[in-house]
Amino acid sequence: MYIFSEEWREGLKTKLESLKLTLSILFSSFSGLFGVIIVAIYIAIAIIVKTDPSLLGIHTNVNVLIAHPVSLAGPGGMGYPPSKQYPFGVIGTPYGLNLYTGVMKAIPVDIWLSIIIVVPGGAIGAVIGVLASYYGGWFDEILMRITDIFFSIPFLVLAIVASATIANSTTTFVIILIIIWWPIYARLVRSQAISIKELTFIEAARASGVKDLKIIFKHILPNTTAPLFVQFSLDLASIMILLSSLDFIGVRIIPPGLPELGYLSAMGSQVLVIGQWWGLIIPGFAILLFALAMNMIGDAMRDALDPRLRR
Amino acid sequence: MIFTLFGLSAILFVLTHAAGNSIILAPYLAGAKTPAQKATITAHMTQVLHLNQPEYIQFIYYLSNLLHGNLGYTQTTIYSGTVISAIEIFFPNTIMLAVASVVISVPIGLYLGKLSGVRKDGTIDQTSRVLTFIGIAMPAFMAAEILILLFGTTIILPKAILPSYTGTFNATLASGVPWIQNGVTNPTHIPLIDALIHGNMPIFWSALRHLVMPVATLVVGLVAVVQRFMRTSLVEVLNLDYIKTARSKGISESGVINTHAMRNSLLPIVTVVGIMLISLLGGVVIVETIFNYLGLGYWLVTAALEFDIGGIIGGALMFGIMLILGNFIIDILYTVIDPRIKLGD
Repeated sequence: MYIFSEEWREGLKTKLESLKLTLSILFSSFSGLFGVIIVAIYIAIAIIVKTDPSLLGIHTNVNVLIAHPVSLAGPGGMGYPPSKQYPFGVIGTPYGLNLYTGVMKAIPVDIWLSIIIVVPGGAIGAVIGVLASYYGGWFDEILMRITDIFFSIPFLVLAIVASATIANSTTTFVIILIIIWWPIYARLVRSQAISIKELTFIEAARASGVKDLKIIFKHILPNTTAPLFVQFSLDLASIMILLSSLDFIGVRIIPPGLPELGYLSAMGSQVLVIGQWWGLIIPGFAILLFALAMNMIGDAMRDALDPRLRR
Repeated sequence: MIFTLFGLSAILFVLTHAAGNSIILAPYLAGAKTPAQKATITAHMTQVLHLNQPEYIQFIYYLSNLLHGNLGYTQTTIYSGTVISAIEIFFPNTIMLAVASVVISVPIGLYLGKLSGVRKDGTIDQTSRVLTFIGIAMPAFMAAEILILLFGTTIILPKAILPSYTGTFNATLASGVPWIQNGVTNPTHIPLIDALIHGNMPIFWSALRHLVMPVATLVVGLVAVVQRFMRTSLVEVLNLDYIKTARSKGISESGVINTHAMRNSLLPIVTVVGIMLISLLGGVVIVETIFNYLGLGYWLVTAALEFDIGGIIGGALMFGIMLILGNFIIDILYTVIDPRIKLGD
């Protein structure tokens, strides 16, 4: 059987060794370690909230933001500042929202939205980019012109326009964001692949009669993954910031009532001027911490992968 | 560049016309009361706007309108009139905000980047790295609201020292001033500069105070980007052979850094301006909306929330043009600064 063959065991060994090397480089820097731990905590929270929220002390429907509109308004409707009973505080009238459950419920929604936009966008972009670099010619030319167009308008502006016109549901909005997100990856992979396809081992593969598609996906694409993963980690952060910013300024992209960190911050900003600072700071910090961790992972990976900066 | 502009207008056409005609007709139907009136207006405007023609014909009409500068009408809570006149009013204020934040953040970012790059992994470097990480990871709305919490409310400080939600200047000062009509200042439409032209100091100070927090919010993000880029660039250059040569010739360390290393590491900084431009234009939209600052971003968001098609197309088009022109200027600057690069390669 193939899976027990010598070749397979050798392949597994090399793969494990390279994984071990990558991880040891990532963990050797403080920022990489910090980032990985924070992101692991976020993902753990997201999984627990979606499977068994009572473990985190959440006993209400995780898909509905405000379960008790009035009972938690606090003295004079001013809510409660962070305390032992309400670790993240409570936003007073008109929301009466316990921020602990609000933020916990929002974390899986935000992480899921970021992943569902970045991963398909990145995959589509990577495939298109590597095909364009390999075949070149008019295909490459058209691709580069299309990416030029997508780079000629800020993402935020395009997202606002789309949300006002054709994005009438979260699904269409996500599809539109995927469509505007792939060009970054297409360019990134193309720029990497162009130099890789000139290397001797590709020439050798071609000379020994390996099919084009196998060369592209087995030999070129895997060699472009390093900068791809750096971009992935940075983009997971920027997509979360982008989505929460849209929700914050009132361009709603998810159904009302569904918890989202930008929407929580918008609620908090309404009560900020009357003294409930925690309403903005806590959900904002939840976004900041995730984006910080993702940026630190990305930076540590870039440092680890860039031999010019390694000492 | 022409092709990119064409592509930009094509994207906007697809986005605004794919949803059907109701969103395009909505502004004209706002005044209609009875169903009969609505039917008449719909029939009339469908003829006038060529909505009964096939899409490619509509696209040709749309392009010809764009080329003639005929962008239609906008009707939002912050401005009603032709799209062109709205752009004329909002665009200078956006430019004011963008230029002020770039002018302030670039020198600060370069200086901090130099401090970090010279002593890589030193205390200053570690501290400023953490700070830039926070600057990059901080959503613009959070930075803005923290500034409002600190300086625009009485929660932390005993007195609110800066205005927060009142736009570009204190509107109560405008009564009886001949060069302000309907809250819009003349001739440049930028209150700060117009007040200076007319020598009206109270409005000048008010406009200046209103600029502080929006600009500071944008500066937080931009300084982080510039600092990071400058640091990487300087660290790379300091590892090159010619720096070793300069050091071995006995040139003082400050001489090596200031005259030899800094000049070459400034070259890629032109690239960072391109990166800055995207994050700046995105940030401008958020900041203008939060501070009710009368610029293109606030107009675009208002138009999007009120489904005003003229404002959506006009605002998005202007942001696209700013980005395209910005990148074009950067390309030209590149060839001026670095003779090794030729345009068109």
